[in-house]
Amino acid sequence: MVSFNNQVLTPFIEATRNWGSERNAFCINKHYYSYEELGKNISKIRVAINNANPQNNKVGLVINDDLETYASIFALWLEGDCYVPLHPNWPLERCKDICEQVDVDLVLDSSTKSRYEGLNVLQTNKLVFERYCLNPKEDVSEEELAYILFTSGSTGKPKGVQLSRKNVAAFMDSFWKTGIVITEEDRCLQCFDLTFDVSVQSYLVALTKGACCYTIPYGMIKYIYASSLIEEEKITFGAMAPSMLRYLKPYFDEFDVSSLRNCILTAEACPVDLMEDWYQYATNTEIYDFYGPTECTIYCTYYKLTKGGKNKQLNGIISIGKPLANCVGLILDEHGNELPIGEKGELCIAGDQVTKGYWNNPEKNEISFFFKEVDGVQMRFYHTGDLCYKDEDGDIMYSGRLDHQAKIQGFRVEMGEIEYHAREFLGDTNVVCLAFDKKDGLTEIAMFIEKNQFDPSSLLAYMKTKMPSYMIPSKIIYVPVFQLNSNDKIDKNILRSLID
Amino acid sequence: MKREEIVEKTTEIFRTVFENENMILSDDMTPDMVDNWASLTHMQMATALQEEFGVKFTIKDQLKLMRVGDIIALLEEKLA
Repeated sequence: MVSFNNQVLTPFIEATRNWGSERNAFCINKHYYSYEELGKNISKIRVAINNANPQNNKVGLVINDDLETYASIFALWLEGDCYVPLHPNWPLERCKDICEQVDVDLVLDSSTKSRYEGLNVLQTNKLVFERYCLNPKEDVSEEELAYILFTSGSTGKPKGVQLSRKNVAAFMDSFWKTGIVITEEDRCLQCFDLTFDVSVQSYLVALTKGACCYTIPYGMIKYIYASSLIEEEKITFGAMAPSMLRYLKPYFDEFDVSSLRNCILTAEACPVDLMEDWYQYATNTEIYDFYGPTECTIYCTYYKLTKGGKNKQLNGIISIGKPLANCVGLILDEHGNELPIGEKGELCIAGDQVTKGYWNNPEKNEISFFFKEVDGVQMRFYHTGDLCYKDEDGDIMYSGRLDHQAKIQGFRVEMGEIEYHAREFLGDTNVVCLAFDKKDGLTEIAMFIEKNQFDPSSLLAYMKTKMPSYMIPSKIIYVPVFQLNSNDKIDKNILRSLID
Repeated sequence: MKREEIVEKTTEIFRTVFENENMILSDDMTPDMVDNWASLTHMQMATALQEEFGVKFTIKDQLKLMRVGDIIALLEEKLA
C-alpha cells in the first residue's frame, strides 16, 4: 500500500544512511552538502522543534535558499508536522496574513535577522548538532498535512491549498510509474521557489534516490544560472518552465546539454515550436510535458514527446497527455456530464492526489470540488478551470482557461487579486487586468485604469507592498471611460485591442 | 568609448528597463538590490545593451551581467 513513509521518508532516510559523507545531497550556491550534513541538520532542527513544542503543527518556514531550509522540511515531516512556506522576498504583510490565516505559532527561519517579530521564531542557523534523530514519528495519519501552499486569490487574500501526506505519497507513486528512473548518480536541477509545488517534485525525486539536488540562489537570473549548472555540473534531470527555455533559446548552441537525460516542461503551456528547437540541442534528452494544478499535487497528467516524430498539439501547444497512475481525468460539460472524444469541456481531476480543499475556505471548497459517480464509484473531483478535449487515444489537448486566471512566470495569478489591490489604493476607480501573450511567447499583465493618465509610481509602490513582483502589471493603460458590451459588462475585447 | 560614456548610456538603459528614472548605478549593484531585476527585465536589459553598444553577449557573458561593475567592465572589454 502506498504511504508517505514508504514513498518519501523511508527512501530518504535510507539514502541518508547509505550515502552519508560519500555523496552530496545538495549543491547550493556552489557549495556542496553531503547526505551526512543534511541528516545532521535535520536532526538538530527536529530536536529544537520538539523543545519549542508548537501547539499548531502547521509551522511557518522562511524559504531561504540554504541547507537549513530544506532540512527544516524533513525535520517537520519526520515529526508529523506541515510546512507553510513564507517567501523572504514577498511583502511582509502578505506573509503575516498567511501566518494569521493558518494560526502559525512557530516560524522556522534561517535568516541572519528574522522579520517575524512577535512570533515564536526558531533560528535554524544557530542550532548545534548533538545527536541523530531521523526515525519518523509513529502513527502519523496519512490525512495529516505535508504542506500548505498559498496561491493568488481573487478576493485580495491569498488562498491556501492543503496537501496531505496521502496526496504527496500518491504523487510520488504516480511519478515513478511514468517510467522516469533516477539513481544516486543523477544530478537534478531544482529551479523553483519553495512556494511553488514543482519544487517538491524537484527535491523529492533527487533526495529519495540518493541523487544531488542543485538549487538556484536568490538574486541570480534563473535561466542564465541554470544554463551554467547544466553545462558545468552536468545536470542529468530537471523540471523547468517553458519560459525559461524561451529565454535560453538564443543561446541553445552556446552551452552543452549532452548530460541531460530527462527534462520535464511544466507550469505553463508548452509550445511545440520551442520544443522542436530544444530537441536540436538536447539530443540525449527525453522530454516530457507535465501538467497539474497545485490542488492535484504537482502533476496529474503527462505526455512524453517524440524526438523527430509528430507530437500532438493544439494551436501550437503540446498535448498534456494522459492522467498519471493515481489520477482520473474527465472532460465534463457545465452540467457535469462526460463529453465525447473531440468535444471541448472542463478538465476535472479525481483521485488520491486531489487536495482535501482550501484552508478555512468553505465557500471556495463548495465551488471547486464535487462528487460524481464513475464506474459505480463516487469520486471527488476538482474543477481545474482548464478547457480541454480528449482525442481518440485518450490524450488530453489543452485549449486555454475558462476563468480569469493566468500563468505568469509559472505562477498562477488571479487577475481579481491584482484589481482588488489597485482599487484599494485608487478608491472609486474601475480597474481591469488582462494577461496577454507577447510575440516571444511570454505572458505579461496589462492593467487598465478608468482615469486620465497620472503618475503611477505611488500606486505601483503600494501594490509592491501587497503582492510578489511577478503579479505587478508590466503595462498600464489609461482609459477615460470603459465601454460596455451588450450585457452591460466592461467590454474586455475593446480593452484587449488597446494592448500594442 | 570612454568609461563615463558607457556608464551614462548604461544608466539610461537601466532607468528605462527598470522603470526608475532616478536610478544611480553603482558598481556593486546586483539583481537583489534592484526592484524587478528578474529574468524578463534582465533579458530586456541585455538586449538593449547589445543594441546600444553594437556588441553580442554570449550566455557565458550573461553570467557576468549580474553586477553593474562587471557589466561596465565587460562592455569596456568588448568595445576596446
